[in-house]
Amino acid sequence: MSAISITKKEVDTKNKTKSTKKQNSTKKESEVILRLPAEQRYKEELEFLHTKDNYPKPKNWFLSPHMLKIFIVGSNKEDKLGRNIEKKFFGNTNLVERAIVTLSSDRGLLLIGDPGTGKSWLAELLAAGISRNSTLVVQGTAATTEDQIKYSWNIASVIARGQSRETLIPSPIMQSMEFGKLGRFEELTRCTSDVQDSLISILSEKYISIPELDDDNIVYAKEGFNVVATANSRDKGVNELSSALKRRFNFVTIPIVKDSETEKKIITFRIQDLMKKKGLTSKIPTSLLDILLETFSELRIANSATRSDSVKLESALSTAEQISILEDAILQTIFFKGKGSEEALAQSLIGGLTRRLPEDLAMINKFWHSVIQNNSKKSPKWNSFYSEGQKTMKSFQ
Amino acid sequence: MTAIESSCDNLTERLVSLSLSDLLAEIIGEQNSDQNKILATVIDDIDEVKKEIIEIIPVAHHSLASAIHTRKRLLENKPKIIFLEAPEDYEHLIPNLKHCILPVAFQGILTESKNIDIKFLPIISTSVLSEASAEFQAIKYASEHKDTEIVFVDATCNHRTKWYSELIPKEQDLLRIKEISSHTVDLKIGELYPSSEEFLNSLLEKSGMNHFSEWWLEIVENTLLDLSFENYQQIMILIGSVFRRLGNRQEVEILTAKRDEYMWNKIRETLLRTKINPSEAVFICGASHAIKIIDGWGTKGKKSKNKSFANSKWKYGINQSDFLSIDKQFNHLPGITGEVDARWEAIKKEMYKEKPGDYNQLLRKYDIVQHNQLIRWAMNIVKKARSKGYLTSPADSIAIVKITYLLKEIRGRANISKYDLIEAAVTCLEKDDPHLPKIEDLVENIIILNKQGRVGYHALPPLAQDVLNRLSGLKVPRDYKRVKRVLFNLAQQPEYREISNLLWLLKALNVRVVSIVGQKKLGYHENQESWDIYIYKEQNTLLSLAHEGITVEEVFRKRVLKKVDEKSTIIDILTCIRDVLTYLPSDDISLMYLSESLIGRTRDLRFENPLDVYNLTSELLNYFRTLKTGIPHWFKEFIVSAYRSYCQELTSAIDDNSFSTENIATMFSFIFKVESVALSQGATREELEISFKMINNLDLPIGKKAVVLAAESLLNSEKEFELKKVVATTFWNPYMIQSLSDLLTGLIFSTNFAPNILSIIIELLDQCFRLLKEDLLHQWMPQLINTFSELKTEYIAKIANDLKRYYKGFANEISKMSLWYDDDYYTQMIQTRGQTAIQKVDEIIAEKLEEEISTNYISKFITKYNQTLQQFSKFLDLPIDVPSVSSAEYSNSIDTLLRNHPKVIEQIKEMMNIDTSFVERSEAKTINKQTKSNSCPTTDEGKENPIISIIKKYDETQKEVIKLGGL
Repeated sequence: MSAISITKKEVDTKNKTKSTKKQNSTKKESEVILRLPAEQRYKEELEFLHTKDNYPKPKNWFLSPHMLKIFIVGSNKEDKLGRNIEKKFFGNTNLVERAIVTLSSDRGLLLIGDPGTGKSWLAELLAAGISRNSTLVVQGTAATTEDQIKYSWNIASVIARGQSRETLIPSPIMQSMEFGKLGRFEELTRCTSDVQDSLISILSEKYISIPELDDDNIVYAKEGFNVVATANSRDKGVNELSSALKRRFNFVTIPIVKDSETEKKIITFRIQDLMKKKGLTSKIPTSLLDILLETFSELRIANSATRSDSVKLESALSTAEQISILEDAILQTIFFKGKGSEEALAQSLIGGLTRRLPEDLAMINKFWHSVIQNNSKKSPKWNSFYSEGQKTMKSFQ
Repeated sequence: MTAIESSCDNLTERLVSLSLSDLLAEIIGEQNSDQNKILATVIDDIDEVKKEIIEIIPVAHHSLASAIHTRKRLLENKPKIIFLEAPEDYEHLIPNLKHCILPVAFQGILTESKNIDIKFLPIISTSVLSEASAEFQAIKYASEHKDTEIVFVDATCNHRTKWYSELIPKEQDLLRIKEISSHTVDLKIGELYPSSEEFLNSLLEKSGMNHFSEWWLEIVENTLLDLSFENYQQIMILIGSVFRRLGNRQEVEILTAKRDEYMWNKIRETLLRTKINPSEAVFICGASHAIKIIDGWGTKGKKSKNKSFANSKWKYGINQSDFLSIDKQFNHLPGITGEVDARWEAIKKEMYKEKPGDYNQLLRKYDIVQHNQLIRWAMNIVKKARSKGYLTSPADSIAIVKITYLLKEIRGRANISKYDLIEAAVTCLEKDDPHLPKIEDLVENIIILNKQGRVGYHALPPLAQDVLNRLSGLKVPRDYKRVKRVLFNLAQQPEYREISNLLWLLKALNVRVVSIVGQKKLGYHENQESWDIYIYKEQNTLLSLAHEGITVEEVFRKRVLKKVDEKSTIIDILTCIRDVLTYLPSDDISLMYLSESLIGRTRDLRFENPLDVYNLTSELLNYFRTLKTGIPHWFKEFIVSAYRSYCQELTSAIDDNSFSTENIATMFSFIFKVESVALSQGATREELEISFKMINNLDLPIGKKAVVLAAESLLNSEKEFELKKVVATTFWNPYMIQSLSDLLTGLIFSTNFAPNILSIIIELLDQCFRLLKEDLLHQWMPQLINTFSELKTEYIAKIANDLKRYYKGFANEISKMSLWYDDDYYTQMIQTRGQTAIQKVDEIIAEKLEEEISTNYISKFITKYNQTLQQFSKFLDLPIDVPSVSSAEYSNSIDTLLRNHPKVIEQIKEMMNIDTSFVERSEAKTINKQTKSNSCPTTDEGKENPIISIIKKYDETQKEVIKLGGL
């Protein structure tokens, strides 16, 4: 998920006017913008829920926890809303509830799990529902500095006018503090530990001081401020959080979806969404989805059975990977007529999962000639998938 | 809008809070007509119940709402008769309930049946009662109101067991087979649980709950609390109807239908008999039984007769239970029953009034009380997490409490749920560290309420009462609930002997009494005993015996006698006899039965383990010999019979390769042990002698041969000499050296019956260490050590002591250095001259000695012998002080010393107390020779021996001498 960072200008007090203009031009923009943030995409739904919201809510929250839950996990009849709110996050509802209540407490929320389990998506939905702004994001990398978490300076302006609040560039976190919004911190563990620790004082004291200034040098967090961070449990570049920082977060672990029915729903939902954005109306063949799900399920079993890391696939075999592989396959069949969907899927799958040569290729080869070959003997729908896979693997060699 | 649609809408209104209408839509599809059909059926079910003359109170097991509504309804209507869904064979246990503290379980035990395979017996049928249950409230109401009768109408344990076992062949259901084979048939009164997994999963998914009990508590229970009885009844019927019609597996439905028929037959019969008006009757049953499925349902239903099965004998009683067991039995989450009970306790006083007031207020107060409890729990969780490695602090307790409340709000719960607390703890404390234990596991132990029930003295079965009465000497109050530790000094407190005997008997029956000090053996009386008695705390352990008899002695006797049948071996019977004599010494009848069982079995004695036969017989024989009455006649008869049998079987046993040397030796041990008794009863040695004659014709392995000869030596002293010959032959023949171990083993086994063999063993070992060449000895040493290590400790202990005594003689044997021989020369000698060389060996070596300087031999021998000595001393754990220098150096230094001062040899020998009489003859010549050219000074200084003066003069010499002499 790529972050879209917004400069101070756009959240100026004149923002309201601009946002109004922005609202009017949303329809036009949506034809241009590649990916709308959740609060834009589900704007109408959010407003609808807001009008129906009679539940108690924390200060500065757009939706109450109850409505926010409905926004994320979908509605049912007993909610008595009069319309259906579609499910956006396919996971355990308890997990979502724990995440929501954590954000209404004074601790931050850290969503942790394997890659591709929907952590960033959930964070985005939470921010959209709480603050109507999911774009106050800091992207954690090994090069992230403390400036990007707190504030930095517009050098040219500083030279011209000296240091002041006008020449200060607030970070997304500072902005969320100032306006009582939910700040997001993606891939927290990719930052070095000393940079991570700058969050400690923010989460404890709930202010940032600006020592360079004499006046107006403290930015206090308004009610409604909190931080939702995400971290990969699998990442090789991980910097462990200090115990002081851990204490200030509640951890919610997002597990890999193991239930095939749920996984099917997720993939269908996402693919349909992606197709819709591209203006394509192609339906996902059920057999294709079944082949994909079954292959991944068996790959996961085979992967977990191997003891040595060097023999395991580098890929996390997450639901997100399945979505991208399937999307790739469907687009191939649409844009390159004549190619069968199973063949495209085989190509896409092997291309997507082979990241290390020759280790990953060896593993997939072994898997292909045992499991997939077996499946193709049992059912003809696997035949073209199997043979195309063999060809693709040969091309790697 | 049709009537059905209209009533469906009304129903939907009522159902909407339960999400049942949604659930129905999910299960049966989106088509309205089907949904309406189901709803219409449900409405019919409600109507049927309304039409029925008897008032039906549908309940769920261990449900607070059911308990409250049942109590209230009974107080309102004051029925004359209550029909309760409970097995009718438990009814007679009701009066005992007043002596109990709940939860307890009505229990039926089946020990004999013509219909059920014995391998499944005993079958135990359990029905648990807790105070916060509709069933108990009905029983309590009837006990408080004398003009109200209570009748249990459900099928008996017998019926249920029979119906279960009938279902097995049809369904091949492993669960059912397991249920029967685990000997427990759970009778869940008022069970309301969908047996269809698909239905259950759908139910939970729609409601967002993780567990059925959570669904019941949150969705149903809290709603039911605030309703009127009519609404309560309707909702329960709705649930019962949906679960029964849509949520049950087929075999469960078959069983439920049979039970429905049984219950309504019983109800009709009872009404006819008592002539009570049905309008004055109440039927309390699980909600699924309130549904009209069968034709026989209702007072006006189709009549049939309940069959009775007379082929099984059940025994009934009340047993201890606890909340966690109830949770397990009813598939609850752990802690649910405890939670329900806690809430009942909060309103109990109000509910037990004739006109209960507002209990909701009390429940709200309980919620407030829960807040303090929640804080305590949070603190305990944080404390426990810290002890397990989590870096927690009081801030985490605050966070846990806060998050728990927030979860309660977001989930729309009326009260805090333990599951909210668990999830809050997980959220606040777990930090993705795989090395630490899971918070969920830590929390469960803290927050789950459990209570153990208690069966009062007067409700105990006769056996338990008898035991408690006999233990009254320990001055333990009857309501004692803890583990009792007792200490006896039976020499000073003989009055505790009876209690001690009882405790040993209980221990033998696997009742939970733990002996810390003391032991029980036949004919042996311990003076000091210490016990931990758990039966006051864990009543189950004693109650489990109750169905077997009236007293523990009866139970023990039955169990012992049960072990004896046509297929029992002599060992089995002797073991039973020993057990009876140990624990029930005055039980002559059992002894008589067991003794009669011994008759005629000795013909198969050979196929039984001789060691066990020998040990048991010895134990019994030794015991009987201590009695004034002496050996009983039947035992004498057994001995004679066994003696004859062994004597006859000796030859075939010895010839059988599968029969080990030890077994043979044990047979002989048995024969000689009991011989005196056998001979006094008319047996003769003839058979034994005949056996020996036959054995002598066999070609036996060396070990068995040794055993046989050892046995024969008891009858014929010449055989001892023959044995010695065998030993010598084996020893001196280098091709037989490897069988020395077998020989030695056989000899050692023989010491059991022939103690005279010990001297032969000592001699053999002595010779081995003295005479065997080092390399041979080293080759043989591991085998020897293995042999010793494989022997039982009693054998080793026996010979080790003697070996130690004989060790001292080893030093003396050094003197026979003339027997130190040259390897090749000796081997050649043996080969050429055979055994006759043994006799001439001394002469030959003496000749050799004349040829060479004796010092060489002495020094060589001493050094080489030291190494051997070291090994042997280590094995026997005997102290030998040997120098640590290398043998070569040591040998050289001694050699030099002795060469320079040959007279020192004599002095050394004197100091070591060596008998050198043999050597002196030859050495004398050598020494004489040397003396002539000796530069050793002689002195006439006083009377001091010149050698001594030399020793004093030369410090170095002195040191060596001291070392040699071990001084």
